[in-house]
Amino acid sequence: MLKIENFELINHSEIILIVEKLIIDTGEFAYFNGENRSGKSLLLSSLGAVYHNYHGKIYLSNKEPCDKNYHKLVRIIQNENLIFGDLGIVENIGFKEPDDFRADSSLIDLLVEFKLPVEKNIKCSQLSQSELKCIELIRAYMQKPMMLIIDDLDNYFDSTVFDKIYNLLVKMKKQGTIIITSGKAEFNAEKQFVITEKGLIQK
Amino acid sequence: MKAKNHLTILIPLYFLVFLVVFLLLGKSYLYENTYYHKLQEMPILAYSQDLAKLNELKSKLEALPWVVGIEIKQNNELKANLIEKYKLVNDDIMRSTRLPNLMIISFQGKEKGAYLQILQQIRTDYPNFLLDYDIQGVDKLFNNLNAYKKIRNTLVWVLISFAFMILFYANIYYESCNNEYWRIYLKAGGDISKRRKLFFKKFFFTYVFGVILSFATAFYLQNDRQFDINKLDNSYTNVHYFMAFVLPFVLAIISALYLRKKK
Repeated sequence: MLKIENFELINHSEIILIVEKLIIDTGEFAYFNGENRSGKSLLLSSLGAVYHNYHGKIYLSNKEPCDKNYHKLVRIIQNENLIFGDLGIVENIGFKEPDDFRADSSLIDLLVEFKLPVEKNIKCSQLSQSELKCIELIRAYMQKPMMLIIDDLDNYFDSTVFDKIYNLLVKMKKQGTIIITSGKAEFNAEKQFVITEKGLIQK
Repeated sequence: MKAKNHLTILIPLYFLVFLVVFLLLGKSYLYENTYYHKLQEMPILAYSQDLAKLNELKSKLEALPWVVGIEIKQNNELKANLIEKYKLVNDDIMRSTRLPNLMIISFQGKEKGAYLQILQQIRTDYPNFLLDYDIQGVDKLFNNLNAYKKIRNTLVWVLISFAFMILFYANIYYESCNNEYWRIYLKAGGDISKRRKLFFKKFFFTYVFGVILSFATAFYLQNDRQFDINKLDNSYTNVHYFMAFVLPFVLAIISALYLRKKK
């Protein structure tokens, strides 16, 4: 369960977003919408423990972002590619034992479903931006985090893979909380929020 | 690039630089020995009719470590040699002449003072001895030797500075590439313990194993290409061995401080 209390998001010494209380239960799909510069990406970065300029409390299963084990619970997919270009797809997904992952039929099925090359000799530097984001998503799926955060989901994927992505996110929902932001697309999520000048409003 | 790939570049570079430094250092010491061999070829010759006194002097000089060889040639032996060499069998003067005995003192000291000390000792204790030596040649040899040592010391420091800089920047490059790798790795959900393991692996190879290798190389070269374990006791006082231990550690500390400041 994700719990946010008395949260004040700060950017350039200014408070840009206030969230008094927010609870997203395990197994829920939350969708945040908002205009540019509304603070939605910084809010997600704060939840993902990569942005720390805020006041208030964030708890995920009673662990705060400053906790050294917090990062094990969360995966965040943002604009920055967290992919090693000189490694193959399976090596990027299973860092420790790529051979075990290569033998995992569920992973191979996923790669085939997303039309990603399964050959060993193909490096990630040869792939498109959309394919790299697919790999990040599949990696997050395989790691089974307690919370998955995807910032600007529709930035990376077009309508041809959107349904597949959505289905994967629904599968992931069973293992934890999913939080996404999007500027354009509408999502069928349990909890939908809009960030306005007045603050965070639940639809 | 994977962090371990950087390590495979760094480790051979590390060994190579240390090996080159100590190889050059060892070679320079071997070359220094040629000066002492030349010195050996410029012996002090002491002539005297008194063979007993020559023997007495010989036993005194044999105790000195910088005297490498003493040979006494008796007058009858010298006379026979001269007669044979210059075909003087029928020469009356030669037959009636009584030649002195000869002592050849070979010197291999590292200080000119020791050479002069021998001369002074002979002059004081045995004023009747006739001495023959090439003081100008010895002067010239020691001047050249001192100049060589000065140049070598300067070069050693230049070489050490270069080696230090090469390894420093290689280390910085390795750590910078590593930081980027680990940043992505950890953000993408990688296991932090792997970084610790690689850190100790790198420390072991570049410091512990590197120092052992460079120390062994230095020891081997300094002792005329021999692993004489008995000489190990005195080795820790040698500045080069000391540096082999300390320099990689200093390098690691400075690199870490530099990277910390850079962050």
